[in-house]
Amino acid sequence: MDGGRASLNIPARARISSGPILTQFRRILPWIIPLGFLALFYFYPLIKIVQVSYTRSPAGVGASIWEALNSPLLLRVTWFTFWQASLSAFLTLVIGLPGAYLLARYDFRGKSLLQALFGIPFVMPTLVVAAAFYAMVGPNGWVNLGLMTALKLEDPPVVLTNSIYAILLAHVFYNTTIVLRVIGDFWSRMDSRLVLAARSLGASRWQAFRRISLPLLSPAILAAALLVFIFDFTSFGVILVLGGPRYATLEVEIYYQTVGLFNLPLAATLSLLQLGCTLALTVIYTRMSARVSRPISLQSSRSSMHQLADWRAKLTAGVILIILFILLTAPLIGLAARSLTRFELERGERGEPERGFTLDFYRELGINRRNALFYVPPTTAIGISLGYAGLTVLISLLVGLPAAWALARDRQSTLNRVLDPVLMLPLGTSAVTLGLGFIVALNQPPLDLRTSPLLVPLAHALVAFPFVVRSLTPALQSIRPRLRQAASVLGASPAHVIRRIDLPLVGRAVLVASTFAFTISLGEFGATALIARPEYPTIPLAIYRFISQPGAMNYGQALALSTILMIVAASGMLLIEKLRIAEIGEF
Amino acid sequence: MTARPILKLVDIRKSYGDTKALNGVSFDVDEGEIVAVLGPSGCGKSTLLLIIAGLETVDQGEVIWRGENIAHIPPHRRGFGLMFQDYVLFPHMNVFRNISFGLEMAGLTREEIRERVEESLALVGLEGFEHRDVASLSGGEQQRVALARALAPRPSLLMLDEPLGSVDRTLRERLIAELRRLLRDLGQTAIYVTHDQEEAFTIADRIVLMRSGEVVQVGTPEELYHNPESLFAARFLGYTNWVPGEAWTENGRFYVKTDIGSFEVDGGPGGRVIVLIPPDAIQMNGPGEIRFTGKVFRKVFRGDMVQVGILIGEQELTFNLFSNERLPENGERVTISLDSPSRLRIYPRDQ
Repeated sequence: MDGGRASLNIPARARISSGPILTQFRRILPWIIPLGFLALFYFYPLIKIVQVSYTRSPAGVGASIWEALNSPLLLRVTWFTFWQASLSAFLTLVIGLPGAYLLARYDFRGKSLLQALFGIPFVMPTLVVAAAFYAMVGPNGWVNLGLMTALKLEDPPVVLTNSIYAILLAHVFYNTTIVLRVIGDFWSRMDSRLVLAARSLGASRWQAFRRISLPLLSPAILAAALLVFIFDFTSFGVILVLGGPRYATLEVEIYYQTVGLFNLPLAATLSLLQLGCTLALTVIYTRMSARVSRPISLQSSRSSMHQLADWRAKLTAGVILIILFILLTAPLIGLAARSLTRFELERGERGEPERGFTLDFYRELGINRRNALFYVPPTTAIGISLGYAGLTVLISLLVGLPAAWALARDRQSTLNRVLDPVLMLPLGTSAVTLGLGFIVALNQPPLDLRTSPLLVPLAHALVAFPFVVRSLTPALQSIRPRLRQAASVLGASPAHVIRRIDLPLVGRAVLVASTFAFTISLGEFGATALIARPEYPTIPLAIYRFISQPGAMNYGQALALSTILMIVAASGMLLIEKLRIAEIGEF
Repeated sequence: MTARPILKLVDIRKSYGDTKALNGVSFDVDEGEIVAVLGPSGCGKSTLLLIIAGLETVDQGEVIWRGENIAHIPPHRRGFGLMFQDYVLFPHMNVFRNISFGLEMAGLTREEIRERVEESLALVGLEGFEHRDVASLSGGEQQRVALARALAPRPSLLMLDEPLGSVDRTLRERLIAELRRLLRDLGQTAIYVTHDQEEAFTIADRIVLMRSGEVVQVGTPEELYHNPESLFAARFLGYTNWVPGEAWTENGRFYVKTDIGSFEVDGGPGGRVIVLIPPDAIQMNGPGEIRFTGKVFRKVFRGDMVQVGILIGEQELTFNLFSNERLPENGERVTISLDSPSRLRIYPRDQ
């Protein structure tokens, strides 16, 4: 750019002299804030975790981990984490594969709507999911109510909460969409004539699937299975709430050790173990997903979607879709419906309960009833959550915009290629670990944030940070350098260019990023569970409390609050999708 | 020896939504015969093969094999071979495994499979290619592996769907001749689908000309070329000398008047017509009575024959002359004579 100016015969005074040092400084400048943020609130806490774990056994972290694993309790915890994740992933695959096939090969009315619907579970906050399953298969859930009325029973016959079944169901609910998308997308790019060729050579449909489709699909199946496994491995809210006290994964155990037993060194050790496993899994996954993006047919496959021709195809498709629909949308619908109905007596009430539609639970949310110490009315929790969410948006944008700008500017530079994955690190770290890090690191001056209202938003911003950067970078990348050059030739200083050219163009992306940060903050549970002070709960924490307490009114309020959170989260995601699509359309 | 039809297609109809892919297609294939289904893209040819193979259902009509309707027989039990456009080789298997696939499905023993694969490879000239990775093969090699794969199970009917679509022109001519020889040697009954008229003419015993899901004409290559029954057929076969005219009957005789002259012909449609003069129907100094005069505007040497463009009146017409005749120069005025009036083909103009 400067060379251009020199050749335009502009007087030397007007040229911006920028020697190499200034250019280097300018290059590094935007990185200072985001890297500083990560250093203070991610790396420093992690280092502290290692340090605290050290205090447990002076022989070193490795020895500490080894010792922890040798304890039968913790061995059991680690084993449970692995096998529940494996079983969940397996079940998700089994349920998702037929659906993936259907979506990959067939076209039918309402297909895109269904695909959108099936994606909703994935973005739901964990407490919403937990409450939804309580509303479906809990002791007062729809399934039991139905069975009790139909079979005239006194006690609920099918109680899946506080059991492994609820955990598995919730995991399948969450992650089926991953299978549908990853495998479905891959399958649709596989030449459909390969199966026809096999059948013309004498293979039955099953043989063609086993010998041709399955081997060719295996990279996608493995990648999807591994991704689902990683999500189930690091699952926290679902296990904590739906599993009950009997079931603990590494994440849940970290929580118990920190909040219940104050055994920070052990919690730290477990965190490192968890981190190590997740890191290894993520590395394996990245290798695998590279293979998934390679084309698998020798020629480019013509897109060939079939119609559902005969009644047999329609019937099979119908069955698959109904099962998926029930599994993936019924819990959320059931949650909303259950929050509006009352079927049982409150403690202390006599006589017949008024059955039916009611807004009592929602009304109760607004009432300021103080029944116990540290009890906070729900409206306060909502206000706190909103406040935290707002702060999260501000912090994320403050930190994320410079990072995205730097990434967008010199895409290919080595600095960028090294720092880009660094920015994504919080994504691969469990929220519980992040929370633990805050506890052990931010408790001394100059960073004593224990009583600061910024503590929780900082944690939320850390979780949201990768999403914010990922939303902003493409928009910033799309600003053509010519526009900025044109502005600067016309006399705009660099600051002016940013204000008048860059910012309006990224307005929409900023909106998307803000919505991300806002929605993530509202629904965040893992880190918040560790660091939030009891008298300042967020919505998910309030829901957790309500669910843990007996009584119809508490149960109802939990469901009502969850429904509200569900609607907000869904709206947030819908807004993001709409904004994103409009953006793509623009370019 | 009269061959009996081994395959009969009776009034095949197939629609996809509102689009009619096949609108009442009927024809026969004799045992040991090579039939080419020729037609422009999108006329339903590939759908027809899928239907015969059982990989697609019919809305109406019957596929009759050896006298029996085979609609109820699933594709993997029909014993037909299908060679796809773009070959569709299994990317995760090497050459041997691709070819042996059909044999494994048929339940042959390991020894039998090995023998048969080597036999197939020898047939297509790819000995020694057993362990090659299919992705590393050239286009021509892939095509031959696909052929070997389809032939290995010795299908009673082989169907080929535009197998030379992605091969370049010079290779194509050689391959199509080899293919015909191979199929004749094996006595293989075959249906060959293509949009290329030259391919069809080289390979087929009989040609089925199709357009928009319907059969337009069936005949040997010679019959089709010398006797195209419709304007579409003639145009598709590549005829270019078209002269508009008027036709009428007078005193039992049939006349046609055009810009380049009036003639009496044996018969034909009346009213507005279009006249086709086949490019090989004229001679430089021949005995024919009907003569035209014109000026040579183009000469293209094509080996054993020369394409001469002659401007007659306002019509630019192209004729083929043998290059060992005395040829006119560019710009020269010439007189040419039509072999016989029966060589002219008359079609209604609004067909």
